[in-house]
Amino acid sequence: MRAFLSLLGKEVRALFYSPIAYIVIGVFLALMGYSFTITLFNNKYATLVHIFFQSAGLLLLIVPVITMRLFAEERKAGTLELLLTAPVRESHVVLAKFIASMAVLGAMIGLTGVYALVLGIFGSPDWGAIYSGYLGLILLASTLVSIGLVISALTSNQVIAAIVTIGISFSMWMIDTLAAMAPDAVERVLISFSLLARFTPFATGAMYSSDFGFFLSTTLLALFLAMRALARR
Amino acid sequence: MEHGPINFAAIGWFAGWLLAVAVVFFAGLRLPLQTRLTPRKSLLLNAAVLAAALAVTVFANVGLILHDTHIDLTREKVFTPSAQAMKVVDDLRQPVRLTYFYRSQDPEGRRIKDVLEVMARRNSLLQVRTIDPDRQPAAAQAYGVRLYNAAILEVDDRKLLVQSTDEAELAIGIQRALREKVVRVCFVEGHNELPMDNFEFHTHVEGVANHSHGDASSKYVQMQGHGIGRLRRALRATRRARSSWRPCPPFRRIATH
Repeated sequence: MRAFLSLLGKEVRALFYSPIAYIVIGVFLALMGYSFTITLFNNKYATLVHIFFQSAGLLLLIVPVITMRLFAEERKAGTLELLLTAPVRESHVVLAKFIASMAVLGAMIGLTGVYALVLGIFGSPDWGAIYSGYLGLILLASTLVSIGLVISALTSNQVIAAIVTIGISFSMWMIDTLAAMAPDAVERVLISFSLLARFTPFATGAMYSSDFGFFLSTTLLALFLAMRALARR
Repeated sequence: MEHGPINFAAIGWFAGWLLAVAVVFFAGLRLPLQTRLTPRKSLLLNAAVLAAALAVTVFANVGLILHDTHIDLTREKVFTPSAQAMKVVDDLRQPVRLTYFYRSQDPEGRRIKDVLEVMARRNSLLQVRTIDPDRQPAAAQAYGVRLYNAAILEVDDRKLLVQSTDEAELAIGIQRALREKVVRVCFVEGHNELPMDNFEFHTHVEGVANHSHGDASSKYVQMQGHGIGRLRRALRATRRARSSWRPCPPFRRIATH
């Protein structure tokens, strides 16, 4: 456990000591702040639904930027061999990188809570819908990070890792648009793989245990695959 | 799927599911990554492990879908369909296809879209498809629909159009679509009947102080011929009968002695 915690500390420091985390968080908050202000002044609705959808859309682009370097950089620099020969388990390496990435994204998403506070001070927002929206964002982020980890573990090229992760993430996000053209049996399968279809109930204030389970099981599966991918060394 | 009051069985199932998934995941982490097998056997072993992981994930999701739980966290429970609508969905015994046309810019349209999806998750016999004609013009054109907030209900070869954002009215539409027997109401004319196209223009007395031009005052003013017009309007309003004005069978005079 001590080895895992020191590994986690190293990963968190690596992310927060680099400018990447601050640039990503800064750009994200600037875009969301602009969108929040404009929408609030135009619509006068005390809701964050649009912020949740826009945040989800930005996560599809931001997460690959964070995850692309996690293994690919270490593999290219040759430090991955060093890390894997250290007395730590591969699973600890994967989990440490996952939790460190989630810490960055959690801070990023958490800071948008200021918008909810503003709504709470000047209006009467529906807090239930806000809580479920944040839960949905965290679950979506965890799924995207775990997918990014798998891709990063498979290549030593960061650009390839980022582009492939973006491709997979966007495909999973909008795969339900194909459903309308598919036969009934395939339609349901396609919709069940859609990140957008799974995320929408959370963003609007309704939750399903199956959606929660989908994000959780996909995350765990991807983390497991990332660990197996490390065995390719 | 369970809905409404807290269902401890569903929560227990979900807790058990979480525990089982955690156990399987941590057991998977303990599987050996490096083996002393030949490269070919090692490859086969890895492929088998990956296939097993995928299978476990699929089964876990299917298990959860079969015992799905809906939690509406909104203050006004806006995504909770009315009990009447849920009963109609629960009672379905044959497939009903509901295609709803909504405008994504309209909050009420988005709400009913989400509510319909909740209803569809309740019973797999209700197949819901939602279309925004602005974003999916080809799909809307295929149905020949140019309306917002309208549902096309299809049961076997029967089709029915219901325009509403109220799930209770859509549920009544489902019941109508399921009804195989069509009740035909005929209005005859040309035999000194009262006019059937009376639209109750005489709803008030002009000149009376505080008189209203709205329908609200019609119940106080009775004119000869209002009855048949009211019946026709009531039939349309309740939507319990198809309001298409198809030709009726030829009128046959019944001889009286």
